[in-house]
Amino acid sequence: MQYDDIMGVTEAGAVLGHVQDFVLSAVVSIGFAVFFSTPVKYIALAGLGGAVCHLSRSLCLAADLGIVASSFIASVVISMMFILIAPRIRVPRPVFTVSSIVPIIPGKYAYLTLISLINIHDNPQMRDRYIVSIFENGALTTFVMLAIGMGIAMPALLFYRNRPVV
Amino acid sequence: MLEQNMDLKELTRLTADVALLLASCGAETRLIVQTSERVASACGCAAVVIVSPNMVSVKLSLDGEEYSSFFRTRGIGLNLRSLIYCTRLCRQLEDNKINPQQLRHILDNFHVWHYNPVLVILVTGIASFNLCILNGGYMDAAVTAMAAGALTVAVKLFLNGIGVFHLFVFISCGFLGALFSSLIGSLVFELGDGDISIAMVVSLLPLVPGFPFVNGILDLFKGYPLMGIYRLVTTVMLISSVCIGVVLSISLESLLF
Repeated sequence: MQYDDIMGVTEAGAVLGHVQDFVLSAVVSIGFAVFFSTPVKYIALAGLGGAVCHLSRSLCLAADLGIVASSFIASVVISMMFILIAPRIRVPRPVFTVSSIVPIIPGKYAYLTLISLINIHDNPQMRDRYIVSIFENGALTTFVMLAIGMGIAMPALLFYRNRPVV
Repeated sequence: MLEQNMDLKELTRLTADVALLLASCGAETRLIVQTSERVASACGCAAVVIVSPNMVSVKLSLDGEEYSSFFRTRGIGLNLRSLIYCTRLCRQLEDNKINPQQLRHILDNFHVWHYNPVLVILVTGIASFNLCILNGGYMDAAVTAMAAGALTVAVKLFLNGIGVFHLFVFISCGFLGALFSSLIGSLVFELGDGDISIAMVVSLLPLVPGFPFVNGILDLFKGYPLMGIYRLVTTVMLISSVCIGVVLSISLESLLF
């Protein structure tokens, strides 16, 4: 009984966390949509895309899929979502997809790679540690970015072989 | 049917202007080629449009007569409103809602529309605030990210506005963004290294070249390897410029503090 109660509280907390992240990532995508001069009437869709993208990645990460696979699946979800929506409103998909992927860009890993690159010369005693950090974080950044890019591009190839883009 | 008042040369120029506008406002290559060829087709001509990094080539043919020309691409920066507007003009031409002369008139009087810069700075600051919390930053770090992100975007808009070379814009913004977040975080909020690094990463995200990257991958996948490689190389150059700016900032800080 106590265990169930604790599990209930934990699950409720997790759901609340996902709801909070959903709202925050929507605001992030809306901000970047404005930055990219997206017309006002499409900004809400860009925000929804960012929220769905981040939520998809969070759910995949919670299922222990790893960050590369999670980012790929989140990008595929976004791409599929806008493959369905964009032709109906006759707007090119990158208008939405690029703003939507901003919340899952691996900025932290890129920063850690850069810091390790700087410190490898300034701090020779820790060189081994920094070399490992460069490879770990650099590889992770590269693979996550490739996963995002390919996740956006690949579903479109299945649906748009010879059809017009808009 | 070739329009009575426009000859093949003028229609080539019209087709090329649509391609140039799309190329300059951030469209993927397939969209540029398809849209401009559809414009030519709506005017009754068969068209071949080839897009390369610095040039658009157009060949129009009608009843055995051919005309081809080359046009240099010009940059107006990324603008999704212009992109949507241009694809919409193409559909209106196909649906006979406008004729080629009207399209010519619209393109001649075309002005790139932007949001108010103050609004862009404000909204990007709010986005940076949210992104910082999303990445595990606390309130002080988020406020630092918001201020630094807004200042970075303000500098970027200013430098773009006065027409500074874009790699220099990215170096300057990388330098100032990292410096702003570090100074605001350490002097105003007395943040630790971890929080400052989150604020710094977030404030620099407006400099991530998402469009060249995604378009580069799309171009590679859709059979435009030259444009794809060009866009990916551009992405690497822009990211490297930001990194140079951040390294300069960190070096300056270690010298001063």
